[in-house]
Amino acid sequence: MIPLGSVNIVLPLLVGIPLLAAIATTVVDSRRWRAGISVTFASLQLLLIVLWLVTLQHTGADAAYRYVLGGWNSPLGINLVADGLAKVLLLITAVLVLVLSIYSAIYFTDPAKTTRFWPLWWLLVTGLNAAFIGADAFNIYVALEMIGLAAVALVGLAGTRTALTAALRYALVGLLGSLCYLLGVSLLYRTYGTLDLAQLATETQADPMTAASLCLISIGLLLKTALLPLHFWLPPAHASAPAPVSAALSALVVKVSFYLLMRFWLDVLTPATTELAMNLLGILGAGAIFWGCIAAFRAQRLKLVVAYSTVAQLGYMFLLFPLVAASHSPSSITGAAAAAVVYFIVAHALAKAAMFLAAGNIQMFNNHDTVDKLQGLARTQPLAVLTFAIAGVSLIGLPPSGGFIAKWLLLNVAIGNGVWWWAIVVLGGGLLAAAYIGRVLHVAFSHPVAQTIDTDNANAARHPPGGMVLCALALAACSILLGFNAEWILNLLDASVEPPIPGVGGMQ
Amino acid sequence: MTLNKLLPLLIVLSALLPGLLIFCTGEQRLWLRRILNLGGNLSCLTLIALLLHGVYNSEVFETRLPLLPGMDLVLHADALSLLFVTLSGLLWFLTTLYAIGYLEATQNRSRFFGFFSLCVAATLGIALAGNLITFLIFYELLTLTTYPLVVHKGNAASLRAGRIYLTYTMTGGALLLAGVVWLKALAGPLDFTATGILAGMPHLDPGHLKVIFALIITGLGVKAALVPLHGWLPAAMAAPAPVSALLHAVAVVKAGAFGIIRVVYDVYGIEFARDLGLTIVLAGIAAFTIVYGSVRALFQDDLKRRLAFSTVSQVSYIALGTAIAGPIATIGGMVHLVHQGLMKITLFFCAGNLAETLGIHKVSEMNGVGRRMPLTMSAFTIAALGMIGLPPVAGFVSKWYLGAGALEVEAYWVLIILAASSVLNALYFLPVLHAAWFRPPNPTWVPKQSVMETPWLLLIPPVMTAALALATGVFAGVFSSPLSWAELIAAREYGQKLVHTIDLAAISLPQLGWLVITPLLLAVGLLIPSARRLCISIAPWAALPALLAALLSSPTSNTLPGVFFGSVLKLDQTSQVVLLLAASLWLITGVYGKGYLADHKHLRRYTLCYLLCMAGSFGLTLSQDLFGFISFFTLMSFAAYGLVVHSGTPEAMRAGKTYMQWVIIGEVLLFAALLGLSTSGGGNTLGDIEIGAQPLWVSWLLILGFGIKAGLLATHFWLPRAHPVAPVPASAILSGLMVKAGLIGWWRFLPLGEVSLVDAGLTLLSLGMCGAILAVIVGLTQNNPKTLLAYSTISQMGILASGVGAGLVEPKLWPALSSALLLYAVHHGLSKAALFLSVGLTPTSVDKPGLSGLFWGIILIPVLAMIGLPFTSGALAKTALKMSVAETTTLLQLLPLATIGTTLLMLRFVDLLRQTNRPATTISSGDRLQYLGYVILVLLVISVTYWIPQAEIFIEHTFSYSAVSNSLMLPAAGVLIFLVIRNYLAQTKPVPAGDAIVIIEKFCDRLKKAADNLQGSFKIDMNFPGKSVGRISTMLPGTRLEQRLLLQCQPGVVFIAIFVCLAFMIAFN
Amino acid sequence: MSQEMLYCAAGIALFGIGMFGVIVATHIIRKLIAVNIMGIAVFMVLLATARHGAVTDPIPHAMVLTGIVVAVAGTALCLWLALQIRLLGRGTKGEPPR
Repeated sequence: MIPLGSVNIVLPLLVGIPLLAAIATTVVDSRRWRAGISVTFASLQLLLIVLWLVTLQHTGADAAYRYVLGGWNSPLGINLVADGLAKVLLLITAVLVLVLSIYSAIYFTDPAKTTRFWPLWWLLVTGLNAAFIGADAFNIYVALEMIGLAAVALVGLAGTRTALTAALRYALVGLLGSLCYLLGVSLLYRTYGTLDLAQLATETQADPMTAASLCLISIGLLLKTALLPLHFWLPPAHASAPAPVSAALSALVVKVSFYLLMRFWLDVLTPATTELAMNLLGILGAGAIFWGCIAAFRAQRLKLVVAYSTVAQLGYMFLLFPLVAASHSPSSITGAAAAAVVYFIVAHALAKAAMFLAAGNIQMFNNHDTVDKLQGLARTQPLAVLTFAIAGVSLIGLPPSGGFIAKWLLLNVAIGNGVWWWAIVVLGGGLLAAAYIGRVLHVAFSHPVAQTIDTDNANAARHPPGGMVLCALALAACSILLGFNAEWILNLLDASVEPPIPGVGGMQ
Repeated sequence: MTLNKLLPLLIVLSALLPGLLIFCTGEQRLWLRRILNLGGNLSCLTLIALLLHGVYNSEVFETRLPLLPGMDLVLHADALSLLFVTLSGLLWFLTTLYAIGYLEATQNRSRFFGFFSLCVAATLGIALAGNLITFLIFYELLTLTTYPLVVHKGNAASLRAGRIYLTYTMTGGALLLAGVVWLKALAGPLDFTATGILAGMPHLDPGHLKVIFALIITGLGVKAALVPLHGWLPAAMAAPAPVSALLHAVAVVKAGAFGIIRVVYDVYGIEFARDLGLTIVLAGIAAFTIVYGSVRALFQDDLKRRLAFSTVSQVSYIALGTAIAGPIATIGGMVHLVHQGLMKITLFFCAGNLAETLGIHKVSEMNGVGRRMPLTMSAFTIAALGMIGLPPVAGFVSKWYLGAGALEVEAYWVLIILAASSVLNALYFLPVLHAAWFRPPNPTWVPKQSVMETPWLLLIPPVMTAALALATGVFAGVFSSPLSWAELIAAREYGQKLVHTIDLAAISLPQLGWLVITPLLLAVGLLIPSARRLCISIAPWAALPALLAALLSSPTSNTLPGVFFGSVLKLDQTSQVVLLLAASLWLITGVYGKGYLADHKHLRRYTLCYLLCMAGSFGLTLSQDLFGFISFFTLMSFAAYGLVVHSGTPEAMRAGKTYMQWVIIGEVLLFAALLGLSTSGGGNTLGDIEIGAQPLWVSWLLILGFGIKAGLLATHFWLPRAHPVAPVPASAILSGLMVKAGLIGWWRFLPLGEVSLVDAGLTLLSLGMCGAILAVIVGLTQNNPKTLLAYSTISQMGILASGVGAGLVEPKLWPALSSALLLYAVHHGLSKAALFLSVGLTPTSVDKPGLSGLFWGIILIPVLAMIGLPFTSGALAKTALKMSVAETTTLLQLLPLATIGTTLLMLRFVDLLRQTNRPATTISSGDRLQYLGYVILVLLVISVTYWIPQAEIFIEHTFSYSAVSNSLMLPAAGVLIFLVIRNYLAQTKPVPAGDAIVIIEKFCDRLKKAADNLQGSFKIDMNFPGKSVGRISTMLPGTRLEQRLLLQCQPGVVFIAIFVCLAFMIAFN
Repeated sequence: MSQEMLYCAAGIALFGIGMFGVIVATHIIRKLIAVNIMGIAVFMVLLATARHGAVTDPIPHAMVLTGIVVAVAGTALCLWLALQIRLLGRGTKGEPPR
C-alpha cells in the first residue's frame, strides 16, 4: 500500500531493538553492563521514535504506516503498521521504558536478580511494541503471550510467597484470556479467511460467527485488562511485584489489551458490536471506578492502594464505549471520545508509574508500606511524598495535569453528547480518588508516633538512592507538564477533539 | 513575544519560581531562603507596577498558550485582575515578612515557604486568568497548594482541618468543573469579556444556563464560604497565623469571591444574569451568609474562630455587591475585595501576635492587652472598627457603596441586612476592644523585653496593613485608590464612561484641613514614647488654630478631592459660630483638665481620646459632605467612649456600655439615612445634594439618628448615665458641645426652610417639649449635681429640638429661627460647660471669707445665665427664640414653663452643690489652672453671645421692657415653687440615671436568662464539621466482600457470567 | 455435517470442557492441564479451518505450531512458579513485614 520509505524501517527496528537488548543482556555477564546496555538501548529506542515522529510531522505523510517484513505480504508474512493511536502508545512506552530502565538499573542490586530481570524486561518491551504495531490478529496473539509470560515472570521475581502466588494466578488468567482471544481469532479466520486487521475491517459483517468471535476476543481481553469484576488478579500481582515492574504493569501492560479492545470494537469488528454491549462495558467501567476507589481507600498497604487505583482508572477507559455509542460518529477510533481516552491512557501511564515508583521508594525507606504506619513521612521522605501527591493530582484529575486534560476531554464528550450521567461518574470518581490520595497524604503529614519500627526492620531500611527518587519525580513532573499543552499529543493522534455542534446531541 | 505578551506570565512565574527553588534549599539555609522569598516578592511587585503603568496607558497584556485545540491558556490583565493582582502582590510581601518572623526556628520552613509562594502564584494566576478554563486550572492549583499549609503543624487538629478542607474544596472543584465543561460545550472557549459572553448568545436555553450557574456558583461558593458551604473555614483555623491571614484575606476565600464576580460579570453578563433571575438568588444566599456568619461569630470565644466566622460574613459582601446588580453596588463589592483583605489580614496578624507573644488565644484572655501591646492592638482596633463599617476606615466605603447600590436598584432589604450586620459586627468586636483597652491587664504576662512589644517582623506587617486600611478609607477619592479602580471596572462592566477628572495638584493640604489635622497629629505623637510628655502638655492648644480661624478668618471653603469621596470643608457664618463655641470649649476644658487630672492615671489614654474627639468635633463642624461628616461624627462618638469610661469604676463601665449601644444604633440609623440622602439627592457633598428631595423615611431616620446624639426624648437614655460619670472637663465637653453635634446634623441634612414636613416636624416638636419638661421633673429628684446637670441638658436640648421641629413644620420661620437656635446653642453650650466645671472646683480657704464669697459668686454666674436673668446670655437666647417662633406653634407656648423648670433645676443644683461636703483648701497650682479655665469660660458666658453677628437683630428686643420683666417674672415664680418643694425634694428617692432604660435592661436580663435556660435544655450543636471520610468504610466492607465474592466463590463463575452477558448483548443485535 | 465441521464443533466443545476445568479445578496441576486442553481445543479448531477450503491452508498450521510453543512456555512457567511456591512452604518466609 505504501512504498517502502526510509522512515518505514523504524517499525521493524522497534521490535528489533528491544529484542536485541534482550539478547545482549542475556549474553553479558555483569550487572553494570546489563544496566548500561539497557539504558543505552532504551535511550536509542526513545530517540528513534522521537526522530521518527518529528520527521513524520514535517513530511506530513499519511497517518498509517505499514511495513511488510521480508517482503512477505499478509496473510503469510508479518506486517507492521502504525497509525496515530499506535504512535502515541509507542511514544509513551518508549518514555516509560527509558525511565523505568534507569530506575531498575539502580533498584536491582542483586546480581542474580538482574540476570533474570533484564532479558525478561526487554522481552516485555518487545511484546509491547509488537502488540502496538502488529497488523494481524495472530501476531498480536504472539505479542500478547510474550507480554503475559514476561510479566508473570517479572512479578515472580520478587520471590515472596505472595508474589509467586499472585504471579501464578496472573499466569493462569493470562493463558485463559489469550486462549479465548485465540479461539476468537481462529473463528474470524475461519469466516473471512484473513487475519489482517485492515482487511478484516473492510469485510466484517454482523453475522453470528463474527459476533461469537467478538465475544471471545472481548472476554479474553477484558480478563487481561482487569475490568471489574474480572480484576481480582490485578491488585495482588501489581502490588507484590518489584516497584519498576509494578509501574510497567499498571502503566503499560494492561493498556495493551485495552488498546486491542479499542481496535476490535471501534475499528475491526464494528458491525458486530451493539450499543447495548457498549453500555454494558461502560457500566462495568463505572462500577470499576467506584469499587476501585473504595477498595483503594480501604487498602492497608500503599502499593495495594496504588494497584486498586489502577482498577479504578481502568474503569474510566471503558467509558469510551458508551461515549462512542452515544456520539454516533462513523469514524469512532479517531473520534473525540477515543482521543479523550488515549489522552487518559497517557496521563494515567505517567502518573501511575510515578506513583508506583514513589511507593517503591517509600517501601524501601521504611521497609514496609503499611499505610497507617507512615506517619511523618512528609518530613523524612519529602520528595517521595511530593511525587506521590503530584501523581495523585493527575489521577484525581486536578489541574494542571494530564489527568485534568483527559478528564476535561471525557467530560466534554459526555456533556457534548448529552449523556451527562457519565459526566457524573467521571466527577464522582475524581472525588473518590481524592479520598484515597488524601488518606495517604493525611498520614504522611501527621506527626510520627513513637517509633514503631522494630530493630530488625530498622536495619533493613535504607534511603533510596537519589536516582530512584529523581526518576519518580521526573515522571510525576511529566504528568504535570502533560497538562500544559495537550495539542501535540492530540495532533499525533490525528484525532479531532472539537465537541459536536451544540444541538446535535441531547442538549436540546 | 514582546514584553506585553510575557508580562502576565512573568508575574505568575515571579511567585512560582522562588517557590520551586525554596523547596530545594536546605532547612538551615536561612538567608538564602529569605533572599529568594523577598526577591520573588519584590520582583513580583515591580512587575505589577509595570503592568499597572501599562494598563493605565491602555496597553494590552495577554499571554496566550495553546492548551487544547480551540482552547487556550490565557493570562490577561484587565482592570479587575489588576485590582486583585495588586492586592495579592502587596499582601504577599507583608505576609512573607510576617511569616519569616512567625516561623522563626520551627521545622519544615522550606516546605512551608515553598508552598506559600506556590499558593500566591496560584492566586496571581486566578487574578490574571483570561478565560474560565484558565481560572479553573489555577483555582484547583490553589486548593492543592494550600493543603500542605493548612496541615503544616501536623497535629490532629490541623490534619482534621486539612481533611475537611480537601473534602469541601474537592467537591466544590468537581461541581465547578462540571459547570465549566457544560458551559464550554454550549458556548465555546469562554474568554472573559467585559459585558459577558453569554449575553451575546441568545440561542442558548435559559434552563441549562441556570443549572450551569448553580453548579459554578456552588463550586465557587465553597471557597467563598457561602453558607452552607463554609464549614471548612472555621476548621482551617488550625493552620499557623500567616496561613490564616493569607487564606482569609488574599488567597482562598478571595479566589472564590473573585470567581463569582468573574462569572456574573464577565461570563454571564450582569444584565443577562439579572434577566435570568439568578442574581436575586445569589443575593439572598449572600445576605443569609452575612447574617449567619456574624451570629456565629458572636458566640466564639476562640479569637481566631471568631475572626473566621467574621470572614464568612464579610466575604459575602463581595457576593452581595455582585448580586445586587447595579453599578454602584458593583463598586462596593469589588472594592470590598481589597478592603476586606486589608482589614482581615490585619486582624489575623494581630491574633497571631497575641498568640505568639503572650499565648492569648481566647477573647476572654484579652483583658488589658492593649496596654501590653499597644501597637498591635491599635492595628487590631482600626481593622475591627473598619469591619464594623465605621468611617473613615475602608470597610465603611464598601458598605456605603453597597447600600447606595441597593437603593439605586430599590433593594431596600439590603439596607436592613447591612444594618443588622453592622450591629452584629459591633457586638462581637467591641467587647474585644473594650476588654483590650479598658480592663486591667493580666499580671502574669511576659514583660516587654525591649522597646518593641514583639519582634519587629511581626509588628510591621499589621501596622502597615492597618495604615493601608485606614488610608484606603480616608483617601478613597484619590485616583489610585482601590475605590477609583473599582469605579473604573464598574464603568467598563456597564459599558458606561465614568469620567475621572481629578486634579492631582488639588491634593495639597488646604488651610482648613489643619484645624482637624493638628489634634490628630498630636494624637499620633502620643504614640511616640519620647514625644509623649510634650504632646500631653500642649494638647489643649491643639484647639488654637480652630479658635483663630473662628475669630479671624473670613468665610472660606476648601475642596479636598482625594479625601473621602471628595471632601469639602467650609467655614461659613453658622459654622464659624459653632467652631468658636467648640474651639473655646476645647481650649478651656483642656486647660481645666490639666489641673483636674494632673496626677491621674491613664493620662495618655485620656489625652488621646480628648484629641480625637476634638478633631472629630472640628471636622464635623466644617464638613460639607456626607462621608466627611459621618466620619468625624463617628470619630467623635467613639473617642468619647474613652472619656466616659475613663474613671474605670463599674458605674462608668456600665455607662460606657449604654453609651456604646446607643452610638451603634445611631450610627446604623444615620448610615441608612445618609445613604438614602445621597442616592435620592444625587451627590455626596451638600453642594450637590438636593436636601429638599429626600424621601420621608430619610427624614425620619435623620431625626432619630441625630436625636440620639442630641438627647431627644426616648433616645436620651445613655445621656444621664454617661455625662455624670466622666471626669468633670469631659462632662463639660459632652454636655456643652457634643450633644450639639446632633443639632448640627439636623441643621445640615433636614430640609429646613425648604419643605414643610408636618408630621415629622410636629413629632420632633412634641418630643422636644415633652423632654424639656419631663427631664426637669426627673432631674429635680437627683442628688448628684452632675446627673442633675445631665437632665438639665436633656431639657435644654429638648427646647432646641422643638425649635428645629417648628422649623420643619413652618419653613418660612426658619431664617430667623436658625439664628435664634444658634444663639441658644452657644448660650447653652457655654453655660452648661461652666456649670459642669464648677462641680469640679474646690472652694478656696475658709479663713478668707472674701475669697469664699468670690467663689460662690463666680459659680452663680452661669446659673443665672441658665435661668435667663436679664443681661445674661440666657436672656438673649430665650428672647431670640421666642421672637422667632412668633407664636405660630402652640407647643412653644410651653416655653415659659420650661424656663420655670430650668430655674427649679438650677436652684436645686446650687442647693446640692452647697450640701456636698467639700473641704476648702488653699489654691494649689493645679487648682489655679482650673480656676483660670473656669473664669475665662464665665467671661465668655457673659459676653460671647452678644458678639455673635446673628445676635444683632435680637439684642434690642432683649433690653425691651417686656423681655426684661418676663425674664424676671418667670424665675421669680420658679424660686417660689422651689421654696415650696425644697424639703420635699430632699427626701425623695432619686430616679435612677437613665430612667426608662433601667426597666428595659431588667427586661432584657430576664429575657437573656430565659434564653440561657432554653439553650440549656435544647442544646443545638450548630457546628458543621466535615463528615469523616472514614465513615464510608463501615458501610461498604471493602476487600473482604471482594474476596468472598471473587476469590473464594470462584472467579471463573464471574468470568463465565460476564462472558454470557456480553455474548447475549452482542447477539442481541 | 462435514468432517471438518465436526472437528470444529468438537474443538469448541473441548474448549468449553477445558474452561470448565480451569474454573472448577482447585489443584494447580489440574488447572494447568485444563489450560492445555483449552489450547488443544483451539488447535483443533484451527486445523479444521485449514481444511475449510478446497486446498489445505498452510497458515493455520503455522499458527498451531506457534501456539504449541507458546503453550509449552506458559505451562513451563506456571509449573516453575508452582514449584517455587511449594518450595517456599506454607509460612510467611520472605514476606514483607506487615
